[in-house]
Amino acid sequence: MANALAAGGTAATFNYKVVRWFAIMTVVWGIVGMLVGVIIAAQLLWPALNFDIPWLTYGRLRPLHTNAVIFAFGGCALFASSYYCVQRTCQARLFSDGLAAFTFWGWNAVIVLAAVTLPLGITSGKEYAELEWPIDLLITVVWVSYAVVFFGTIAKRTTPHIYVANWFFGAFILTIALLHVVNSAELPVSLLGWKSYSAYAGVQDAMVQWWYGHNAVGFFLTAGFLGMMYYFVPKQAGRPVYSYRLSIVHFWALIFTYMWAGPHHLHYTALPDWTQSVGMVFSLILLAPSWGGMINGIMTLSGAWHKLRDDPILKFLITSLSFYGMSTFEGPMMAIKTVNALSHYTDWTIGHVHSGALGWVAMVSIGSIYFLLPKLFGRSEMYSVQLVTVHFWMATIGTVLYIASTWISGVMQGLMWRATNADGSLAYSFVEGVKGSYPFWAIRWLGGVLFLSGMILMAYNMFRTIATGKIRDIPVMVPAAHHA
Amino acid sequence: MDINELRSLLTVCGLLCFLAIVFWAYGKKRNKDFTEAANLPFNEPEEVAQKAREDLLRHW
Repeated sequence: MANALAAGGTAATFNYKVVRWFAIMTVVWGIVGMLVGVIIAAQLLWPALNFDIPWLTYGRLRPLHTNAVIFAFGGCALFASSYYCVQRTCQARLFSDGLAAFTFWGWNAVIVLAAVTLPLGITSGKEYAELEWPIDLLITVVWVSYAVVFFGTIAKRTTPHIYVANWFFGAFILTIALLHVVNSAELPVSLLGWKSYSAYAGVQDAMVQWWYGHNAVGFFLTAGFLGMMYYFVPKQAGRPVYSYRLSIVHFWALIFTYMWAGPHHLHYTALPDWTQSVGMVFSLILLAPSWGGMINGIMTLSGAWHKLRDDPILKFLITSLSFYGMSTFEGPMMAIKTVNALSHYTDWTIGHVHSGALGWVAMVSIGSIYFLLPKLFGRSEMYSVQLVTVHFWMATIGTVLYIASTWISGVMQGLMWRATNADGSLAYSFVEGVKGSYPFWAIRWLGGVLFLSGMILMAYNMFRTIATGKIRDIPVMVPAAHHA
Repeated sequence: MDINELRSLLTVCGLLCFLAIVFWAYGKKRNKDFTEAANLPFNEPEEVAQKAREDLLRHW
């Protein structure tokens, strides 16, 4: 140990700088992305809110919302927590400060480019992969750098084991690289117009797209955040993971099974029936490894449930796991063909997405960032713990309003669309379904406004914490007297 | 062997692989390793330093 310290010299501290930057941008992009969400939800209620300006139309703003919340908000949260976790559990400074800084500037450049090009209507039309070819190239370069930094740090480790969270982060990084490169295979046809054509077409394109789309959920939004969970829940609860062995089993089952779930997005389409069945069956199997993760996280509080009463960070983390459990039950149910026949194209799908996105992804990120910020800025806790609790309730109520309203409108839409008269004609016109959904869209919008307001509280709390904090360098190694 | 026989074979192999991972993970002799690994978040520099300081004060 002492040798390592001597050899390391000034490099024997953790690189918190890049973690700080990413943590701050997580909150900033969270507000931006959710604000765009609130705007488009409002446009469903008051269509005039696009002011007849092309850049503000629903069709152009929606992908901006999805990209901002998934890749900007979610992405920065993942970068921040993975860089923090990998250093501390490997007891090694990041492999390369320069490359890590590049991932920060590169990733944020991707986001800014998205914010500019998507409203301009520059899009490939592929869901969660709308960004055109120059940005796809930048993403690839940034992602390879991220992999180098992350795995390079693991290679530098002085610990005998690779902590489970790093397995999840590692799987997430590798898989996203594969998904992005394969799905974004495209032929650019114009340099300045940023136009390209996908290497795929027809139902093959649909399959590749939804292999990508579902694994973006499974690896970006699930595996990555499970990595976050596996580090921050034990840390905040002050006890180790409930069952390390369960974490190993569900890790391998999860990463294998998720790959096959994609076809459930294409039930009753031109996709071959056998492929749809594969997607349905693997989606159902997926319930088990997902719940393995949920159980592991929640049961880590075994013997410490009382901490939930007074600790809002723990409230965020454990509630996020409850929503994770809900969503990973709901998902397999919706992957059943007959259920999907009702739910597909309705608000239920949106409700399911937000149950996962707000309930699981956002709340585990928020809890983790609230954990990180005091540590990164030399404070024992956030500027106002009370505000964290207020934020928790706003986030939870906002999420529940969102989900419940879209469940109702979703099932209603599905039932109205399939209702037939005695003579076999459709009972309702499409627009009648739209009209019926209106009040629920209002409730959904309110839920989103509440959630966004909570994020604004977080930004205030964050800036106050930083303003009264002090930055210290934390040594990687403990000198001299140290456990064996 | 036709495609369906291959599919069946791979399904069985998949199950066996899963069971192998379960037995590997839950095998008794790896218990100590996994307990160590589970405690990695608590063996971090500041925690260890803090504990060392507390121990020193207690024995002072």
